[in-house]
Amino acid sequence: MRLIVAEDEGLLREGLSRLLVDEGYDVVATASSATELIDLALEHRPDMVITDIRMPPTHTREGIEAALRLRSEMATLAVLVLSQHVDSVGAAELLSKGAKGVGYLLKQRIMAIDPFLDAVRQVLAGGTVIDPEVVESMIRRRRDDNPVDRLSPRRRETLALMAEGLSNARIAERLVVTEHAVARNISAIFDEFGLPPSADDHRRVLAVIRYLDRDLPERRR
Amino acid sequence: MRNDSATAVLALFCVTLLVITLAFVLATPDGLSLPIMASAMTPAVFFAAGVIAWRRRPHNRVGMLLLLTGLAIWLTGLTLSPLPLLHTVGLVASTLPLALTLHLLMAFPTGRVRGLPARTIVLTGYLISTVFELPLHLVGDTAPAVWSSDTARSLATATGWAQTVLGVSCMLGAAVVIARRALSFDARERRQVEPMVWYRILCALVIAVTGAASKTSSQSLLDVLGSIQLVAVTGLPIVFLTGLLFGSFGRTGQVNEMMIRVGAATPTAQELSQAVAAALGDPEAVVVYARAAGSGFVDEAGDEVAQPPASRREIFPARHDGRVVGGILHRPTLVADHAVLDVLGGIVAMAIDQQRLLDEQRSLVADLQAREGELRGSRRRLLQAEDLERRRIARDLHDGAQQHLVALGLHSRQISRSTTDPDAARAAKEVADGLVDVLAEFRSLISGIMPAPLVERGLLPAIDLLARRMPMPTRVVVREMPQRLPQEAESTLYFMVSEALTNVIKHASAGSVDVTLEMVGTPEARRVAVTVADDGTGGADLSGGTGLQGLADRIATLGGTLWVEPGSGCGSSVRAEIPCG
Repeated sequence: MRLIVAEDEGLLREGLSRLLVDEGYDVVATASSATELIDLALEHRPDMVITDIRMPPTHTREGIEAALRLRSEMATLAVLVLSQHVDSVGAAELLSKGAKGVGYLLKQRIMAIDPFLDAVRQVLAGGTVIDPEVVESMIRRRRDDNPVDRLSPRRRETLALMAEGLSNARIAERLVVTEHAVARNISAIFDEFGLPPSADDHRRVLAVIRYLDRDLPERRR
Repeated sequence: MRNDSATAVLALFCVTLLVITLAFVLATPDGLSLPIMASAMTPAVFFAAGVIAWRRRPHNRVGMLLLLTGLAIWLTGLTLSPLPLLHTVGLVASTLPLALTLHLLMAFPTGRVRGLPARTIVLTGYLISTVFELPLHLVGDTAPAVWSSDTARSLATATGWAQTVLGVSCMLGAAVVIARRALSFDARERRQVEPMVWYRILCALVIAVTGAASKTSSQSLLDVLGSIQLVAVTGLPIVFLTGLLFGSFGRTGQVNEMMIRVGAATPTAQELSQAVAAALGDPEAVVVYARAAGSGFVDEAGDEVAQPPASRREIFPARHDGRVVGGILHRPTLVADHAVLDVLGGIVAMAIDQQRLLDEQRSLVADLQAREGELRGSRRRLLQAEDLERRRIARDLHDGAQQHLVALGLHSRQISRSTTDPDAARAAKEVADGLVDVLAEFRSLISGIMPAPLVERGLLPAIDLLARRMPMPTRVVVREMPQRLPQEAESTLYFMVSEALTNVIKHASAGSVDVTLEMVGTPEARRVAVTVADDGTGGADLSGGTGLQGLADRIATLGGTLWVEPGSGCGSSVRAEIPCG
């Protein structure tokens, strides 16, 4: 698998690259700014891009913009963005153009090497991985019109784990219930959100998007 | 009241004098004849006019002169007395009424005799009626005569002639002075004083003619002239009283009115001049101002006023604390009563001083306002600088140190995984775990300095994020909000919400919290208002802790206000309003 790593801090860029190379990935290039990332990605057409959000010149949300831009050029490109802080708006923006092969993690997750490599694998495989803290922040949102509020705590928990990209079996494991109970909860969530029956994976993504989308401020144009 | 009782005493005194005369008249054989009665009662007219004038115009000497003239006439009436001494006194005083009448003629209407010729004439009048009168009575065969030699007799005769000649000359001189003064009047002045002028000239001439006739003509002519003189002189107090009250009594009202106006509000220079002109009855009277440095006066426009002023005008100085602060440029010939000028001078001085104080106060206020503006500006710039500094520090920590720590954490994790030495692996793991904690502290530190969501997304998403971290349901209600506000306003409002929410968690034991963002105020003065209200136990206040107080200062620096409503058991609210746009 061919990867590009974009990170403006040199030490971290090298550390991350080495971690991925050690794991057997082919890091074809590294970038230290968003423009560099776009140029390199268009040139190398990798399978996946791992990018920091805050990069020169403005140090705000270059990473997300670059990721969205690249995904519009390369539909199958997997994108994992790393954020220094919980920015649920940014996460929702990232997911607004489709959730397949998208990941959004807090940067310090890198330090938990195995889960991080797990997340890389999932995103490469077309899964959606959202940082638990970001998901927590999204779920905590209290809005009268948010269907998430109508879910029972257990179902909300299930949804959160779905958003983290966990399979039914893993969710059952985590919540210490049967896989059958998880499936029942998930189908209740689909009903609550009014999602028509289709391939389960697709509905899972829609359910996650459904409430992440609500995180976008209404005032955004 | 004092004036009332003094008037009563004076009136009683006059009446007593008149009663005494009446007693003498009635005691004489043909006392009830009209000529005797008329001449005996002449003082009554002077007394009455004098008392009224003295009461109405206490500062004008005309009233006093009228009373003295009446007294002098009364003294001449003592010749009717059967008592020799009183009779003699009456004889000696026989020409005194003429001297006083002369004085009256020259002193009307101001009560003062102005100019050297006039003063000389008045003084001569008194000399004639005293120094020249005495020899006539001290020489002869009857009492109180002490000399009876021929030399003395001829001296007395000469004195008598001198008295007549001088007396007639004085009266003629008086007529000339009055006429000349009247001729120099312009149309307006003449209109005001003309009737008095004619009467005064007529009076002087009648007395002069009668005096001259006394040495030459027959007794019958003398009787006729004497009667004319009596009528003319008796009419004098009535005419003068009318002149005094007419045009000056009304002025007193205007002076009072002016005083009230000056007391109520400081008049403008123009209003002051108008009021003075009205009070003096001189339409051209204006208030002038003493120069700040040196002597001299300037007018309202600041132009120098010629000294002495042109066209027979004078400046009456207005003094405040003994210092000349201004003056009244007026025509002295139009001033019937000097007391009015005194009072006006006092009022003008007061008004000018008041104006000076007001000007000082205004410039002081303007100065303070300018300083306040300066202070406000510098406070705001300090706040902006602090804000920028916070942003810079937060960004440096965020993009520098924090990233390094993550890199180090990753590195130590890799070491702990790859090394075969179990001790090294454990040590590396401990470092990595410690770094995770340090990073968490770092994030909260950066968030306290300048939270990244605020910088990157703006106030609303940042507040939204705060609300989500609350342990109790926290609603963010946005009624109306501009997309972005000035940086320092955004960070101030953010910290206010953050502090208020922290207080709710700490103290309120609230079930839920509402954060409301809205726009208030008029379209010209829009303010952004942010309210944090909980349903807890209440009791939030500004004095507790430095958090909210510091924020109140920050908000005030931006021209806004922070309210804290502690509530009482039904939740408290914290509200900030900041001007925007």
